[in-house]
Amino acid sequence: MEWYENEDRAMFAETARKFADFTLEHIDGEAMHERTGPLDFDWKIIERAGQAGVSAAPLPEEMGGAGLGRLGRAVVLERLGMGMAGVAAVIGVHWAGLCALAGAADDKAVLSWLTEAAAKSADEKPPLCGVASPLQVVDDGDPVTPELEERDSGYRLKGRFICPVHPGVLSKVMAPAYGEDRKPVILCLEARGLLDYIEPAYPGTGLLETPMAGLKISEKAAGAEDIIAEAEKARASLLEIKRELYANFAAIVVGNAAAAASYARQYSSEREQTGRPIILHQDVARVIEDMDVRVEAARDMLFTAAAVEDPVAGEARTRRAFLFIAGVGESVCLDAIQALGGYGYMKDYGLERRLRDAKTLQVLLGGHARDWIGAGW
Amino acid sequence: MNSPNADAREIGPTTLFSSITPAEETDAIYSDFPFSWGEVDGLFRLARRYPSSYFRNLTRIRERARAFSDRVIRPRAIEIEKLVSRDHGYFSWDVMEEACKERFFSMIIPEAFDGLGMGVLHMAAMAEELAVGCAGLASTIGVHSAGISCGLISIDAYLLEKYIRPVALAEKRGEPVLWAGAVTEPFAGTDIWDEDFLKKGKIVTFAKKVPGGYRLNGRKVFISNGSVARWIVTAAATDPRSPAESWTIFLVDSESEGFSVGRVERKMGQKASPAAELIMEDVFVPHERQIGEEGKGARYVSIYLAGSRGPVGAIGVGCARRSLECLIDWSKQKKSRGGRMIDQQAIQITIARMSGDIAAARGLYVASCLACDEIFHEIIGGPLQKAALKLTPNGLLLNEGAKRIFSSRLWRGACDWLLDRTVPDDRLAYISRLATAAKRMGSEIGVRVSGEVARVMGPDAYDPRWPVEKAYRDAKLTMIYEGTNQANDITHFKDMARTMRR
Repeated sequence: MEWYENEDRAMFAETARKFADFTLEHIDGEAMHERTGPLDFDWKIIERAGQAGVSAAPLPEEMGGAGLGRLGRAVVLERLGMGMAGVAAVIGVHWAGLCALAGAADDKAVLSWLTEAAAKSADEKPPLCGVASPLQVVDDGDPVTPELEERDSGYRLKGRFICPVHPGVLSKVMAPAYGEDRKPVILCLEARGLLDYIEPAYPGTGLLETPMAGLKISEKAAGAEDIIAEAEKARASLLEIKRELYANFAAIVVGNAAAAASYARQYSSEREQTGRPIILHQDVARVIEDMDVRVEAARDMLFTAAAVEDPVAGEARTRRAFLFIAGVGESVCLDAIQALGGYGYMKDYGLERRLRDAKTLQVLLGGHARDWIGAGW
Repeated sequence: MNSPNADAREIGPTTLFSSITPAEETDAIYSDFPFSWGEVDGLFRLARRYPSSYFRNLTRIRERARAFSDRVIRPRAIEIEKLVSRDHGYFSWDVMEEACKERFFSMIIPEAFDGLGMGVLHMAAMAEELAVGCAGLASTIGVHSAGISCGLISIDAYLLEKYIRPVALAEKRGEPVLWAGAVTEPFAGTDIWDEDFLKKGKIVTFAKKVPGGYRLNGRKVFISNGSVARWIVTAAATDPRSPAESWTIFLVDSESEGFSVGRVERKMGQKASPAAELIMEDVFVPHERQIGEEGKGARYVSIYLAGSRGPVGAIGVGCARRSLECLIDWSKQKKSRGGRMIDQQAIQITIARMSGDIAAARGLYVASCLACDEIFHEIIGGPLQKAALKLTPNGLLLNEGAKRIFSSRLWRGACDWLLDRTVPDDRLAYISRLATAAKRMGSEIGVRVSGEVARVMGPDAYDPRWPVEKAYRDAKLTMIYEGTNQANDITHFKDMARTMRR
C-alpha cells in the first residue's frame, strides 16, 4: 500500500501504535468518567498525543504538521482505535475540524491560528478544534435545521447540534448552517461562546474518555468574521466535514474491532475447555475467522473510500462505508465477547468497553432514521 | 487487556477438533428430523392436559408482574444501575422487599408448602414482564426461582419442609430469603454444562465425605445472587478422578463457617443482579442438604437447565419489548422534515418486523416452558403427590426419625428412581432441545432488536427517557449465562440425536 512505501510514514504509524498502547495501559476511562464529569478532561493524553506528533499531523508541513493524507489518517486512527476508541475519537474530531478549517479558510487570521495550533500541540492544554453536527430528528417545537439569519447588525444562528467533543475543551468549533434560500454556510465559532447553549449531556456509557455535549441554540449572535465559507465553497466544505467525520469514526471503529477480534483469537488459543483450546472447536474457530473476515472487509472499504479523489463521490463512498463499518464494529465486538463467555461481559477483560465504544461510535453522528427519510445535513 | 498486536496462535483448519457428539449418537438422527411435527404435537397434547387454573394463574402472574414492573421497577431501574456503578456491592433490597408483597419468591413453591404452586411458564412470563422494566432485577428473581426448582425436583419432602417452606413463610413476613445456583467454575465454564464435557473439564470444587455429611472446598465464579443469597444450590464432584460420575448437588448455607464471597464482578449490564465469586473452604454440608443421590449431579443440572433456559429467553424478549416500546414512543414524539417519525414508512416497517421477531421468540419460550411444566407437574404437582403432602401434618416431617429416613440412601434412591422414570432421557432431550432453542432465539432477538432500535434512534438511545442502550447491554448477558448460545447449540444437537421420533 502507498502508505507504507514511505519510510517516514511507516515510522509515524509506529509512533501511533506506541501511543495507542500507552492509552490502553495508562488510561482508565471508567475512572476518568466517574472522577471528572464531562468537563474535567484529562489533558495529559492530548499533551502526550501532541508530543508524539499526532495532534497536528494532518496539517501541511509548512504549517507545522506532517502533511498526513486521507489514507495516512485512516491508518493512524485505526491504530489509535486499537488503543482507546474514546481517546482516538477526540483526536478524530480534532482532525476533522483542522482539515475542514485548513481546506476552507483563506483568511490570514484563521491560517495563523492553525499554525499556532500546530506549534502549541505539545504544550499544556493545547488548542483543539471540533465539529458541531446538526441534529435532524428533534422534539416537536424545536428548530430543526440550523439556520443563519442576516440582521441589520450581524447574523443570528439557531439550531440543534450534537458535539462529539464538548466545546468546553475546544478552542474552535466548526458548525454548518443554512442561510437564505437554504444556501450552506460554514461557521467557525469560538468554543467559549457556545458554553451558554449546552444541553444537559446524556450519561453516556461508551467513549467515556470523550466528553460530549448537545447544543440547543435558540438564538446566538454571530459576526461576519465567524463565517469562513459561503455558497459553493461552503457546499464543498460541508462535504469535506461530513467526509472527515465519517472517515475518522470509521477508522476508529475498524481499529476497535480489530483489537477485539485479535484479543478473542488470542484468548481462545489459550483458554481450554473439554481438554483443548476452545479455538480448536469448530464453532469458536468459525466465529474467530469470521470476525477477521469482517474486519478486513471493513478496512478495505475504508481505504477504498479514502482513495476516492472526487469530493462528491468520496463523501458518498465514505458515508456508505461508515454505515457498513459501524455494523461490523458492533457485530465483531458482540462475537468477541461471546468467544470469551462470562469473562467477556466483565469489565476486567476490556471487551465490553469495546462494545460500548463501538455502539456509541455507530449512533453518535445520527441514527439510521435520518438516512432513511433522507434528512441528512 | 493485552496488546492487540500480540501474536495470536494461528491454527489451520486441519487441526480443528471435528465433533463433540459421539458418532453413534449422531447416527441416531433421522434425516427428516427437522421436519417432524414432534414439538407441535407434544404441545397440543399438553394443552389439553393442563387444568384451567394453570392458564388462569398465568394471566394472574403476568398482570401482577407487569403492574409491579411499571410501579416499582421502571422508575428505579436507571437509579439502581447508577448506584451499582458507583458501589458494585450495592443490592436493591428495598425492591426485593416490595417483591415479597407480590409473592414472586414463592410462586414456584407448591401450595402445600405455602407457595403459589405455579410452574416454569409462569416464571418465564414473570421474567419477561420484569425484564421490560429491568433485566437485572428480572434475573435476580428468576435465578432465585430456578435455584428453588432444583430443590423441588429432588422430591425430597424433608428438604422442602425444612428449607423451602421457610422461604414462603419469610416472604409473607416481607423478608426476602434468596436462593442461587452455583455451577460455573473459574476454569470450567462450558465444561460443566454437559456430562460429556465434565469428563475432561478442569474442576476445582470438590466435596469430601466426612461423618454426617460432606466438606466442600473450591471456588465458583459469576454466580448470580451469589453475594446476596442465603441458600446456594452448589454442584461439586466427590471424586476428583471422575468428576462426571461423581458430580453431586448440595444445598450450601451462605452463613456456614468457611464460606465466603470473593469479588463481586463489575459487569457491562444487568447490574442490579450481582454476580459474585464464591469461595468454599471446608464448608460442612450435612447429608440432609444433599440434593439427589451422589453422582446424579449432571442429570439434575440438565433438568434444571431445561427449566431455566426458557425464562432466560423470556428476559431477552423483555429487553426487546422495552426497546420496541421506546422506538414507538420516540417516533411518536420526534419530528423531522415537518412530519412525525412514526408516519414514515421506514419506521413503520422496522416496528412491524421487530414486533414479529418478538412474537416468534415468545412463542418458542412458551412452548419450551409448557413442555417443561409437564414433567414439573408430574414430579411435584400430581394429584397423588399433592394429596400426600397436604395430608402430612407440617411438623411430622421435621422430627429426627423423618430426617433419618429422608436422608437415607434408600429414600434418595427411591426418589431418583421416580425422577428417572418421570423424566426418561428422550423426554428430557425433547424438553432440553426446546429450551436451548428458546434461549438462543430470545437472547438473539433481545440483542438484535435493542441494537437496531439504538441504531435507528441515534444519540437519543442514550436519553434516559428511552433506556434502549441499557436494554442492549442487559440483553447481551442472556446470550452468555445458562451456557453460552454456542454451548446451547451443541446441547441442542446432542438432544436431537437422543430424541426418539415422536
